[in-house]
Order: sequence, then C-alpha cells, then structure tokens
Amino acid sequence: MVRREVLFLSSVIVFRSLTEAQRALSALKRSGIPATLGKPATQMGRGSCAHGLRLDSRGLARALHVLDAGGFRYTAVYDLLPDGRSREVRP
Amino acid sequence: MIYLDAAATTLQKPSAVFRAAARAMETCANPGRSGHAPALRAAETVYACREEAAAFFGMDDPARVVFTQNATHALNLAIKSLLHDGGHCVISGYEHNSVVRPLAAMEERGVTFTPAISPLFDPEGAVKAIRGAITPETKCVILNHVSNVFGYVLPLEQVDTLCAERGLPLVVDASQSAGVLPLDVRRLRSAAFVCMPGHKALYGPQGTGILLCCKDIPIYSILEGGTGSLSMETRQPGFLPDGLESGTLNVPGIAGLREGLRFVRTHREEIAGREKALLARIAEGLGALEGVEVFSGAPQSGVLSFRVKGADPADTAEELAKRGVCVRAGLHCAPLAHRSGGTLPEGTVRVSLSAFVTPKDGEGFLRILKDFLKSL
Repeated sequence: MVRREVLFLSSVIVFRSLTEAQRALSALKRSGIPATLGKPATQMGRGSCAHGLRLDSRGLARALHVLDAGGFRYTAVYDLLPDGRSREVRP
Repeated sequence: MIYLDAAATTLQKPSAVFRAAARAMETCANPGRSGHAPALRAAETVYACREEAAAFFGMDDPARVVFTQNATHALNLAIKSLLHDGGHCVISGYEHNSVVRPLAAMEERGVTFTPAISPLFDPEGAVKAIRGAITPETKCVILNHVSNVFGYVLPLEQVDTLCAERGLPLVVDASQSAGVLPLDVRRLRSAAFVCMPGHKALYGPQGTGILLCCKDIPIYSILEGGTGSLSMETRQPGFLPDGLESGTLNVPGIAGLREGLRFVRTHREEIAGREKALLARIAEGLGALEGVEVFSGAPQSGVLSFRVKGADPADTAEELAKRGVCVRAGLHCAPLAHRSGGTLPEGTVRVSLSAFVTPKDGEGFLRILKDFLKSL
C-alpha cells in the first residue's frame, strides 16, 4: 500500500505588539480559525520584537479577511516553507 | 478582627484571587518577551484580565485597558497625557492628593487648576461649581466618582453631560466606585480616562491598577523602557497598551485581579445592596451615640466618616484598633475633600465596607465604639 503524505504549510501573521496579536487571535477563534500565538523570527518583525499568529496556510485567506474586516493591524504575513525558510506573501 | 478599612484596600478577597496569584507565580514567566510556554501562559493570563476588565466596564477594545501599579499611577498617566504641555483643569472639591499633587507638580509646566468647592452631599451644587470654574482655557475636568472620605457619590452623569456640551475630556477617578457602582464607559460621552485601583473593590492584590483609555487621545508615558514591541526604535511606542506599560508587568497581581473582576461581575449588585444597607445601619447606630458627629447623606456609597466630640480622630482610631476594629483616621490623603466637607484640620474617622463585612461586624463595631465612648 502506498502511503500518501500531504504536507500542509504554515503561515505567520505578524503584529507589532503582543496585545494586538492576542486581540486578533480572539477574533480568529471566534470565527473558528485555529491559530497559535508565538514569537516569530526576528526578520519577520523587521528586526524588532514582534508577535505572530501561526496557522494552517489553507486558512490564511479567510483569516486575513476576518482581520481586515475587523480593522486589525498586522505588519506582515509569511509562509513557512518546507525547507525552513520563510517567504513574505503580504502585504 | 473587624476590618472596616476597605477604602484603603480590601483585606479579605475571594479565595480564587489568592489561588490565581500563587498559580501565576509558579507557572508564569514574562509576557511578550519570549515564545516558550511559561511566557505564553503569562501572556494569556494578562490578556484574559484585559478582556475581563474591558467587558466589565464596557470597553470594546481590550488594548485600551492599561495595567498600572495603582489608581495614583493611572491618574498620573491620564493627567499627564492631557496636560503635559500645560493648560487649565477643573477638579471637583473632593479630589484625593493623587490628583492634586500631580497637578501642583505640573504648575511649573504651565498647568493651573481650579478646585470646584461645593457642599457635602449636594450633587447639584457640585455641577454648578464645576460649571462655574470652567473657563475658555480649560482643557479637562477631573471628577472623583465617590469621595474616599465621605462616600459622597458625585454626579458623574451630569458632569459628563456638562463636559460633553463643552467639548472637554473628563477624567474619572473611580477608586471607590469601581466594582460597587455601575460604571459603563459606553454611557459616558466625555470620559477620556477612567482610573481605578485593582486592590480595593475589584478585590485584586495590592500593586494592581487599571487605566481605561476611552478616547483617541495621544498618550504620554511617565516611564519608558522595554515593551516587547518595536525594539529597534529608541522612542517609546505610541500605541496602547505598550506605550504605557514599560517593564515587566505584575503578572501574579493581574492574575489575581482577573479573579477579583470575575467575582464582582457576578456579585456587584448584591455587594452594592448589602453595603448600602449596612452603611445605613452603621450611620443610624452612630447617630444614636451621644457625642458622635456622623457625616451621612445621599447619595453615599460604601464609606462613612464620623468624629467623636472632644477626641482626636487618630486617638479614636487607635483605641478602636486596640479593640480589634480597623478603621482609618485623619485626612485620608484628601485635604481638599475635608476643606469642602468642613472637617479640617483634624479630619475624621472613616469606616469603609467591602463584600466581606457582615452585619455582625457592623454591630460589633458599634458596640465597641459605644464601650470606648463610655470610657472617655
């Protein structure tokens, strides 16, 4: 039997402050979009401390729609690539 | 022991407050600084309290809930945000030194202020005095919601309406009202900042306070430093809550405060009703004692002052303390309120209630005071 493994990518939405990330996390949870709070790589914060929400990339578009509609401010969005690198996808 | 000094701090707290504070000390690290589990647990703990406070006081945005060390800290942030470059301010005649002293210290920066003196238990008089003190140069009004000396409930809604009509931001000192009286900032049109301790009628630990930032007014920090955000910038972040929360937060205190908030959210009306009935009974009992002057009136909440004829308030409080009754005497850091109430220079003896003061405590206090009076 051939076992197929599907690799789902993660995305990270970056916020300038912890509280902004937590507000956004609450909004995503209310919309049924799972995400986890964490500290992203320094480069994702443009060299400063930043806070990120990590989520399944398949939910990213919906998550950004929720955040945009709610007026949440995020500073960057990254896809985490299978080789460990990250790629900025928005804004 | 009969503890009647809740206006200074509530001593008895819900057991969940103690447990939460202890649990936070054991399990929480520094929020917003690291990505490991103890740091994230701390972040969740702090944010849960922000959400609880926002919901309780009618704030739409938890980021506008700023944690401070106490009400004095919150008032300093509010006052300095509005008046850091000078200007005139009107304050009620019942303000605490946590308002008067920051304003006096800012006189060299061009700040002037006018106390709107009005009689005790005269809400209309208070509104009239504040209206009369406002000038074209006035930049804001500061109102103590409940006097920490007399329990006099100042006319918040009317002063809010007045400020809204004049386009003036209002600073509310809710030190004695938060957790007891209804306080929904959505109903206040002019409130720019609402300041409160966490350790009084919100039943949190000492070292906690809250500043509610209700309007989009530029904030003015009085303590700059690490915030876990915008670290490459040398300037303090200008956004909330980071701009006003430099350094490590009091996570155990905030964890306890969350439980205190949960307690008052579910019991506020019951607490207010019990305190009102008990205060009325104590006022009645004091009024029946010969040689005792009671400062009782309406509207009044949770706090009551009295004096024993021929006895210094400090001596009365000391004698009560010897008999196991904890009250406060003197000026209560509010000489302006005593000036308005006519109780300078010696001040008063103050009784203040909490959810944990029982009718039996009230009767015990009255009996002990009566015994003391017989000994005079």
